[in-house]
Amino acid sequence: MNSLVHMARLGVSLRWRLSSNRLRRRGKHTRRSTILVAASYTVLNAVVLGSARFGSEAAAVKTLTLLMASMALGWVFGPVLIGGVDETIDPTRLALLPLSSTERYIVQLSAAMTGPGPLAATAGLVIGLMVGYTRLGISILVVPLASICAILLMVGAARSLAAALAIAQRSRVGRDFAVLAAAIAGGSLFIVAQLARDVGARADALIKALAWIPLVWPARAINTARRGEGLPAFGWLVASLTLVVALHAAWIWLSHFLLINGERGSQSRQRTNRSTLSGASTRFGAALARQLIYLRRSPNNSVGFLYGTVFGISFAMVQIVQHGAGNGTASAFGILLAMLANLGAVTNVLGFDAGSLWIEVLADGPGRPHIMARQLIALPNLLVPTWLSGVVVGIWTGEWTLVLLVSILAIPIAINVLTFGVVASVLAPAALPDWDNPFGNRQSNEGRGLRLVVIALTGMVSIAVLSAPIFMVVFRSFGYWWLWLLPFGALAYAAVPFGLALLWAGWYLHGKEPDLIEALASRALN
Amino acid sequence: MENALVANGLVKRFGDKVAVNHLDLAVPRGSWFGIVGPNGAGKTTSIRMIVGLLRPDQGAVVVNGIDVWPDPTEVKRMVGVLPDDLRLFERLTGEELLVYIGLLRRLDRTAVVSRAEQLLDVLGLTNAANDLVADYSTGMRKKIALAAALLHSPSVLILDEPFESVDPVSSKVIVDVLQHYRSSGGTILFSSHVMDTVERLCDQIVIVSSGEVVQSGSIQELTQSSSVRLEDVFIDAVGGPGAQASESLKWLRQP
Repeated sequence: MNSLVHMARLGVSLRWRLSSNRLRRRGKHTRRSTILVAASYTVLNAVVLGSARFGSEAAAVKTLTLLMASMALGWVFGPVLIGGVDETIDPTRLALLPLSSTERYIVQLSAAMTGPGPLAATAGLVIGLMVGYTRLGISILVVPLASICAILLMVGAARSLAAALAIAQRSRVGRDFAVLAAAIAGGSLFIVAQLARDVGARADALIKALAWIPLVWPARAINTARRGEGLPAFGWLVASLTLVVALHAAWIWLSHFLLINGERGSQSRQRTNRSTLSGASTRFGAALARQLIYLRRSPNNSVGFLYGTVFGISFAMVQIVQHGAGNGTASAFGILLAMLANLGAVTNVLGFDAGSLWIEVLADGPGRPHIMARQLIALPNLLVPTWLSGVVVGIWTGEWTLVLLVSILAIPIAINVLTFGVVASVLAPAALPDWDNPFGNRQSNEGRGLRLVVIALTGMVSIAVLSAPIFMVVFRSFGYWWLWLLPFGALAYAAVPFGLALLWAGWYLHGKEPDLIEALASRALN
Repeated sequence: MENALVANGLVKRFGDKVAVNHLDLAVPRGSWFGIVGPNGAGKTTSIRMIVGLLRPDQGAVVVNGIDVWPDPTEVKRMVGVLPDDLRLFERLTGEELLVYIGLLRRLDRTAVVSRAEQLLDVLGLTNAANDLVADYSTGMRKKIALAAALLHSPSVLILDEPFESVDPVSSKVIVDVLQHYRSSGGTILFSSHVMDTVERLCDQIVIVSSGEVVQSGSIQELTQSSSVRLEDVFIDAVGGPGAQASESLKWLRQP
């Protein structure tokens, strides 16, 4: 027992030290804002839940269901989506220590409960539930137990998911399958969220659906206890406890599996057919050929393609959902929004795998050939999701002619996207490792969030401005025979700014290569 | 003797830290020249400034009579570089990597493919030619990076810790290739903190500590014609440890 207490203390101290070091390294402003956000989150949850004491029964049920569902989703998916936030999530870091499964579990469990996020969430939840949902009777017993259950459920689910994903990523197929599943889940949530925007009955349906998520079962126990229904409350509490045991057992087993079988990258031991950059004989040819190879072999590209395709189709579905199947024009042109899902890949082509940039700099790069090759290779990631969205819209609306026209027009529009990509990539490159974790936000924790938002918004405006003449001419030409010639004209039109942007990029980059390396691969310099 | 490479008063600061402080080098053509120094002495930073990968705050570098800065393009055509931090294109095979680099250097494709095959053969990488670089061991990575540095037959070869983490067999292969390169008139500048290797291979060295040259000369001069070991010269120059381990770590003994 003493040993386990000792391990728990170690876990707490480990996570606390990691969190505080991380905040210290990030600077005063980030430290303050993190503390402020955590404190605000605690107060917000406590106030929202606590105020349920004075509201109606129905409102209290909805509030708790929504809040616990959002908290659970954040807790479970947050560490996976924001890479590197919690180093204690990875059991292999403890692999060399002489710890039993139980001891390792205790270290990880205590660490999992200790960071600023978990502490803020736990404090807000417990305080809010005690104030807002505890009444005389059965709830005095059920509310504290269910609160503990809720926290343990979230921890167990988050850690089991992380371990399961680590196992899935041990093979390329597993990784891509996990990505596809996650993207479909995310895309579905996105569409459902659009549905929920039409408040009222749809929102009620959503809340009812959320209440069935197992991670929200403790909320059901609390809600029934609040109404004084003892038996159902205990039923939900027992169900929640069973789930806690199952999830934590799964976590222990999955962690053990990872330690026994080792964690290996999805790229292990690949032997390829001889291609030697098939047929390339010029600098541009070589750059393009390398990009083509990377399109197949780089996890970032395949993951980007999968995400782009699923979310691209989701964007198109939202158009249908919002405008109805009857409004074919809006839905057909809506497929162009699919390109937004891969905008990030286009606007940072120099930052991708920036650590290797030196090798191109030494070989007289990266100049126009590299930029052009890196941009052109993004075309499949822009166009295929758009065209697949077109198929979905065509099936749904029957507007096949319009979908075909927009699908062809997508090519010049994609060139416009690349034009913006050339400028953004050269002006604001950001280091982007080509790593195997498809779920981590590769630019998170680097203080680049705001910059990414600015680039995305500027991109949307710039692309819209560049593409506006194309749309104006197309809309005025409906019903005329030359409508189908317009995509060719649009292609010639889009090629001009693209060419100018490339010329400018080559001129701008010349002589700035060392600065580029220093900015992108500064860690490699020391 | 004519110098292949001259660095004058190189300075580089990272924030408050002065990584390189007025470093001077003169590397004779056809020589094997060593930069030695403890970890963090500024060797890698100096090399990066010499090859045009890191802009110096002050100073100048001249390679074959051409000023590296402000436009290092011309010099990059003349030098081959093996950096310490081997970030390569991990998802190319070894052969693809060499062909890619060769084409970027505007070499003829036929020549590139031929040279790549020969280099892979000499460096013992033929069997791994179609494996991804990501799957290479440390020694194989050094060798493929050396092949990339030699591909265009540079007149000056600049190597940062080429023997670090390399097994003796790979190390011998690398030394053989470099000796052949040097015997054909090439100039080699390399950094290391492995004194035996430096003593065995180099004609001249500079000892760098805290970003400054603290001693320089031929191996003969520094070792007083082998009457003292280079390692002792090095430790005298850069300073030894602060405390004796046998005094400080008395607890580190077995019962």
